[in-house]
Amino acid sequence: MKKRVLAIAMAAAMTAGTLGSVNVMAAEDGGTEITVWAWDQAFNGFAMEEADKLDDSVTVNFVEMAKADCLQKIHTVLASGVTEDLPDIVCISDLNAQGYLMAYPDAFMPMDDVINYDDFSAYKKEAVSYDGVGYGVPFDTGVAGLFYRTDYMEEIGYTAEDMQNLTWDEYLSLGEKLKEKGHLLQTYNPNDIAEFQIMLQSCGTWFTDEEGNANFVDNAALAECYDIFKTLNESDYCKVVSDWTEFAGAINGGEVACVLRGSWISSTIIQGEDQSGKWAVAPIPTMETEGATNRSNQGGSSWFVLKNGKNAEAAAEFLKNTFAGSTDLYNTLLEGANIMGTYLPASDVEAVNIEDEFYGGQQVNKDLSTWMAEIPAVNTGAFSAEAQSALLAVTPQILEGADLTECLTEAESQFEQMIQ
Amino acid sequence: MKITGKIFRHAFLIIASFLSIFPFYWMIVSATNDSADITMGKLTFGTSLIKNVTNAFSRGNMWTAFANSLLLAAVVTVLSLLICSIAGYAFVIYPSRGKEILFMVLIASMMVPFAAKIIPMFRMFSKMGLLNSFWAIILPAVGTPFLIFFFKQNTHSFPTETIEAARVDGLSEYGIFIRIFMPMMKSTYAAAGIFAFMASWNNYMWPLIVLQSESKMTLPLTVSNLANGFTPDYGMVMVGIVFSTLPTVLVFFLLQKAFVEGMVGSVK
Amino acid sequence: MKTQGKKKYHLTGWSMVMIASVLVLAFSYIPMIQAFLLSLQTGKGANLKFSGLDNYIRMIHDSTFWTTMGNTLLYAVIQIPVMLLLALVIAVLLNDPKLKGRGIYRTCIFLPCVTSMVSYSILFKNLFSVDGIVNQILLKLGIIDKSIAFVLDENWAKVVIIIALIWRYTGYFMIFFLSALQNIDKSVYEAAKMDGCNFAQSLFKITLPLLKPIVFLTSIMALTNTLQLFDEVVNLTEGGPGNATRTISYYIYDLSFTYVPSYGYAAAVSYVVLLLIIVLTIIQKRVTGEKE
Repeated sequence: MKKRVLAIAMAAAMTAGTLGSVNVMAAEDGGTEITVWAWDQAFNGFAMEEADKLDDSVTVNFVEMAKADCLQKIHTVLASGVTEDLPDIVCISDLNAQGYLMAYPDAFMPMDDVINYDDFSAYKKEAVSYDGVGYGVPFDTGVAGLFYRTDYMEEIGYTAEDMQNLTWDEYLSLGEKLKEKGHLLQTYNPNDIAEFQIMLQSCGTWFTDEEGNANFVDNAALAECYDIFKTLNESDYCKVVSDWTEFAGAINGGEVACVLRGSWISSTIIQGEDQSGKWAVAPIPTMETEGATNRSNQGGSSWFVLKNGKNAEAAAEFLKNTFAGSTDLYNTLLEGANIMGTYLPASDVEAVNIEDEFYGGQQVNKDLSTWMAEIPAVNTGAFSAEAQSALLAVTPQILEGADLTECLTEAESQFEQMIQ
Repeated sequence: MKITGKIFRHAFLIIASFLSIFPFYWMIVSATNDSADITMGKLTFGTSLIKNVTNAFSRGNMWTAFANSLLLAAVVTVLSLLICSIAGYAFVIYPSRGKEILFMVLIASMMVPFAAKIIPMFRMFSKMGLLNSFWAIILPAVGTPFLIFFFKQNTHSFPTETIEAARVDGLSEYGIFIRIFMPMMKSTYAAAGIFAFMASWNNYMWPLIVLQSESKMTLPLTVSNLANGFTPDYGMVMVGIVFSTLPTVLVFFLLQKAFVEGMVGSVK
Repeated sequence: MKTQGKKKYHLTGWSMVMIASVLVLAFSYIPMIQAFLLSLQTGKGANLKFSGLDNYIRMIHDSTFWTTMGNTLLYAVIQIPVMLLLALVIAVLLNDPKLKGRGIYRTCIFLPCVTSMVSYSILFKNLFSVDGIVNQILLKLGIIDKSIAFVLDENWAKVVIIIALIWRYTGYFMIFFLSALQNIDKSVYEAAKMDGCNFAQSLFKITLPLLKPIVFLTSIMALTNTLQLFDEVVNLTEGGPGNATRTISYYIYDLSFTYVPSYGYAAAVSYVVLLLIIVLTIIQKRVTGEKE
């Protein structure tokens, strides 16, 4: 018995050995193979697949991972200094991009001489540059919108026109009215300050200043964010959620009338197939802080070429021909998967004019791309994650009514601690 | 008195079993439901099983990943059981000051958070030319301090008189281990087999970092990719999860019999 | 036997522990030593420079370090004793060969530790949500008069994590005890029963002393697992609200992969965790009286 087990183990080990040394490569349509690490097959994978079709000189090998895993793996590989088996292109979310550029000088290929950054929305170039040098090829936008239920709004007597230029006060006042009709305004998660990103950028400011220092205490926009957050916290017209699943459940279950997020939230909203024709999108509410607009952004990511990748040159050329040079590509992406890029020459491709049935015939893409071009450019720096962690740590106290300035001062010192 | 004790005992176990099995039941139920129903916590069987299964298996190479995981788990379980059991046994049967220190040193290594070891380990396997190879998964998993510890502690209950008797019978030291210790400690091996299999089967972070190509992916990685979009289709995800959970349950079923049998040929 | 055995079988003993030891030393210790060297360096990402004990000094003033350390220890202090006692009691109950249905009980109680994290975290949050079953039951029983947002409350969130841990790992640790109980001679219990020992007495007077090595093992394993707690917290609360449920391992992960990485500092924090576990292990060894 034991011998048999041992024999099986040995055979298995030997198989493992063979498998270990054979490198299976599926080069189907020829050309240089380019390895891409990214998340979300249906989104980034689809985009790469379509881009691959446009460029015969390369074959894209798309390796899918969960987002956090992908970011972790890139860190590990770059930190170890290992250069064999590197991917050629990696996807990095915009808020993390400058952190990578700072942490691994010389790992990424500068792209200033390869692509024309003026072709992209201004806010996006800022996000993928470090020390004045552009590295990433900007990809999708997270242009922010106020997605709302037209049927619920009708019940309280609001038309699409009424929704166009709301202030935050006006927006919040909808809450009481919706509550009377048995609906809730939006979701609220006291442990998630993602909406602050939208609010701050709409005022042309951020958690950190140009030098990367904390910009908490003397930041009027941030103070207003907390005012709004406290109002939501004390209200009875919000659906309290604690994570993404409950958040998505509240939207698809018809519990909330509004969602304020980057344009990518559309893929979640349209999952509620029974709600087709009952949604619309308007510009975000305007804050009171000086310089506030109703244009903003949340999320989005870009492509980066690793300098030491085996086929780095070919990868750069490939990105130049596709994501930084083909309006056709963006037309296909918009048409096939509702993916909106930040490539300005593509802002009038055919698919932009699609009248979206789900959104009651609204030309959603057209509206979003118009707003996208006007998003205030802010330098989000390298430490957005640290800043948000530091703020989240004091948020429970703020919500309980502690002095804002004191809490923010404490958060600033915690932030300084974190970035040393 | 005796009857009430019995009732109380069963009541306690029934409650514990119910609480334990409920989430597992829900996981199975969810595999038959739509994503929206799952996020709203539906507790009854639905009609989307076939759709979910089709979706899950049309994405990614579930069967390749399954085969990879199975191969790795089988190799790691068998090798680690052999190598760690003999070490744990020797730490008790042939005690010495040097071995005591060595044992402490080995145990300390499982107390360092893995996140701190990842980058040096990655560098090391790159130098050995073993990135993207199954050896990178197998080698660090075979010598497991936990299993050495486990076998060592269980060897304490192994009757030393048996060894003496075997020596008199002329068995070699290795012979005693193989012919007497291994068969007698069946329930210990069965438990260790479950632990080793589970650890290998669920291993996530290290394979994620060290494996590169699609053909090498293990099941947890592939299943995690199912939950990967902006809006995961939880029905499909649950099918993947159930698929990746069942082998562990099966292994438990097969090995649990050995628990009941206890120490074979125990001497009085 | 010992003195004579020691000399005669010296080499055999060493040869038996060789392979395992070499593997552990090679694949665990080399990275560990490198991690230690890393802990003496500061800087972001690959821009590292040697700076002595700076990282260790930095911890003294790092409030996040202390908060996460405190949370982790709190989990350990409450969860480990409750879980181990529960696992032991269940194992002893299930060890009775006359008990009907013990195979079914055993399987059911084992199932939580194979139930996927993703699915059970969705369910747990559902159960503990504002309009979830737990709130409904408590409201009906009149224990509370207003729903509690468990996961979003600083104290309740910790309770949810501890319940989730106990739920998940009791069955796992039950196996340790079950398999060890098989190696105990049944006649000991028969004798105890004759002497009129009740369940609790035979548990504490006979079972526990005989299981001493296993109790020591499980307490060390539970300690190691809990001090490296990560997945549960990520999936159930994401460390929130604020930092109320964040663990030290979560912090190490953030320092390495979420923030602009400070690998040196992350390694230093890891070494403090190692030191802590070693100290607690020594204490435990004294308490359980484990001797060679």
